[in-house]
Amino acid sequence: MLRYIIKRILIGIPILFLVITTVFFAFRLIPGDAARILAGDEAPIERVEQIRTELGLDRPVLVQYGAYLAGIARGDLGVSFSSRRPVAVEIGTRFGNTFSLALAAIGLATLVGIVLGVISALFRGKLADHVVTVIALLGISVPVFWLGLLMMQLFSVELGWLPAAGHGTWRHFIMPTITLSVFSIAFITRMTRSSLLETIAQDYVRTARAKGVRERLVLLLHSLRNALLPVTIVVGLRFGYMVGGAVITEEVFAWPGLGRLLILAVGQRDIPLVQGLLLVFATSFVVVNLLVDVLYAFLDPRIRHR
Amino acid sequence: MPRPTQMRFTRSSLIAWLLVAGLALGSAQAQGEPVYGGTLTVAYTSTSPHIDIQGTNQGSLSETAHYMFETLFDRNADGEIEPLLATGFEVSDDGLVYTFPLQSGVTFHDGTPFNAEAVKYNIERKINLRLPTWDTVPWESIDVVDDLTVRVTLTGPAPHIINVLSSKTWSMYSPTHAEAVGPDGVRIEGVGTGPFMQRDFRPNEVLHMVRNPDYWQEGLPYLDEVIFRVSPDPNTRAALLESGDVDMALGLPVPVTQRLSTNPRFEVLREVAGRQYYITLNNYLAPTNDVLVRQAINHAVDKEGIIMAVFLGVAATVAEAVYLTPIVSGYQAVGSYAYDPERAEALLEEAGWTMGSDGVRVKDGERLRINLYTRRGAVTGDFEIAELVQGMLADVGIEVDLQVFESASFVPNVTVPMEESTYHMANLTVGTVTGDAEYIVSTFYRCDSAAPRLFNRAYYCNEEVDRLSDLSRTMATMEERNAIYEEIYPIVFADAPILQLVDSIDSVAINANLRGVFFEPAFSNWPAKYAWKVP
Repeated sequence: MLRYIIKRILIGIPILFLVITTVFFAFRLIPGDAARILAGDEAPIERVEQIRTELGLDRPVLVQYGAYLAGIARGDLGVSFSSRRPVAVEIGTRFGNTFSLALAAIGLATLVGIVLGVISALFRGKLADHVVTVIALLGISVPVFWLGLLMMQLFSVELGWLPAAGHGTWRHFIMPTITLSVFSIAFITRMTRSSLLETIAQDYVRTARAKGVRERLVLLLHSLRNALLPVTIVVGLRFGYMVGGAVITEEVFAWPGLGRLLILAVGQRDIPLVQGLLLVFATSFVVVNLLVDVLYAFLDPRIRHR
Repeated sequence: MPRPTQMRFTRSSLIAWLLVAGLALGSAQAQGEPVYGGTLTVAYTSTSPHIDIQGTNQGSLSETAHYMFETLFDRNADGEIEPLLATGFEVSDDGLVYTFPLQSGVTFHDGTPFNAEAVKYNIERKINLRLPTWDTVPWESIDVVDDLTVRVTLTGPAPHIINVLSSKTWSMYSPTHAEAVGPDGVRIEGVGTGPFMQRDFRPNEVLHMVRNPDYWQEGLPYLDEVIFRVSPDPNTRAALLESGDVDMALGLPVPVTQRLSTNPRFEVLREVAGRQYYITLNNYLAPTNDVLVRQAINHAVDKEGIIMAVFLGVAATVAEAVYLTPIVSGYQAVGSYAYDPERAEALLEEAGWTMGSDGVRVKDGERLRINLYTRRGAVTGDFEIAELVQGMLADVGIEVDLQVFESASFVPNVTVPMEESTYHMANLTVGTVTGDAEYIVSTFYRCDSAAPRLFNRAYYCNEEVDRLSDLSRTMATMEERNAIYEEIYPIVFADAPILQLVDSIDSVAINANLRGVFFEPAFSNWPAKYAWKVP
């Protein structure tokens, strides 16, 4: 098991290196000039050139790349072009906000998703199943920003129950958490349902039935544990997406997280910050994947690696 | 509206001004008796990850800067200049030496005294670091005459120096603090002389300020705290205001302000802003290098129609001058090209472009096809304007190839040397950052202002305009200078270097219990320095 984990971590390193390199050179290829953006539309050319020198963007690309890699090797992510603060500080101050929101959202999504999925499977073909299916369809197709604004209009403007946007108390968490989790709820619901129905067709379930175990117990005790195996993978993947992909939710609810930081950084061609963020996203994805695999192996002895 | 002091400068005389504080207090009372205490929360959008107002000249930063920092001169609700940290000025007859007496008894938030040394430090800091608009005045030297008197010597007359010094980017920093923390430190920590002091600043999230108990203007400010909350989505800003989370929301879409203006719980304030929407016409590339084609384009576009369609009839007015808006000092209306498609067609015929069988004009076998570079959503309505212009020009036989750019790549594409330019038309806006026409004449009208050095992206060049502009630079007073500008304006207008469109009308929505907020037209800000809340 330990060897497996170490192997997985070692595989992660070239992936991260690839991410760094791709992002670095991609930003040199796409149009847009960080110095010009920082100086502003109405800045004379002298000021633009001055900023370019300050940022070190006047050096050859390979020199910049070498310096960046050397920095990474020392654990230094560089300094943000736009704020002139260390990238690590910029990310560090916001990582907790994004992580806690993602955690809350994945928690909600897992709980609600599994419950709805089980209900749907239990009452297959009946009214409850159809209702859940419609809810799941809506959840997958509803635009996040629209849902966010709609809830804001209802719960903040009309009813005055929740703060419309921002960050600070637990009440600020409610609407962003729901917004961020809706897609995952739908996804996990469908996954749980189909996985559960598939498991029901297995031999060991038939055996349990033959032993005379009550139908609902068959579903919940015998089938569910196995049915949830693929669901763990989905939960893990969704969580990985949430850490890096809460962009719209964060934008709508003015949530000071990494997604909003990424939008600003890309818009301002703040290369060190974008690279730092993508590195964090890639790392969390790799880590979450690793955790899911380990958990999977732990839950299912059949695929446990030596 | 509070109408703080309205005072005019007379030349060669030191004007003894009354304390601004007393007058400001008086004007605020016009809206009822001010109440002390309370917190003002503002939802706005900022793309600036710092608060270094000296280091940039950006609207969203100006909006917050004047709570913490102050300038030597200020602007009132009429856009007129009034004294702030300077109590007035004296100028030599040749217009080269300015003497500024300073307000006494002022200290920075860190206890550093505000004095002549501090002013010298700040002006020299701007010049040496080449920070924005350092080059709009021909500085020679800054000298300390005594503790509360500064003398500025210029190499040439620059009567607009007072306008320049009143812009927020000329805010006074505590020299002690600025030296201690350096250029990177002032980006996250501000120490000025303003009515509020920084408590907390988290970039792109919040700027939290508290009342300065030692503020030099007696009785001000009224509020205990001011909180600027960054909220990037305009609909979210509206929801924050409507739910009572904030007292004031900036940059709302026009339909939202229309809706809020009918709700008695809110008040929508509108004023003509200092920003003009225009489409630059490339005076270098054919066919827009032909003045007849440029005039035809101007006649072919229905500005009123744009105002109705894009600005819902309320958020813009027809621009009456080239780049200049009415709030700019030295402004004079020269007119607008009337919407007249027939006149446009006649001008195109005169230029040799005859109507082809497919509705596009031709000349020497060449189709009248031009491109239009635009952004989408960089400023309100930019893309919608581009689409409308495309349609209107099609009506007179000009085929427009609309090219949409992302903001980050748009600016580099339209900021190139003339020979490398590829655009016929580029959809832009301009604000007169110093609040004075000299800025436009020097950085948009002159041959040597051609992009990329400055902002003349039309590559407009007229020797007569340059000659008059040179002459204006020898004038010691605004009156003499403006007389020359009034000769320049009609020449530029007739040359039609740009497609002159509309001047934006800015708006802010506030909770109806908030009083004392006014519009500062010169810099399109909504200061709430005199604001107070009805409990």
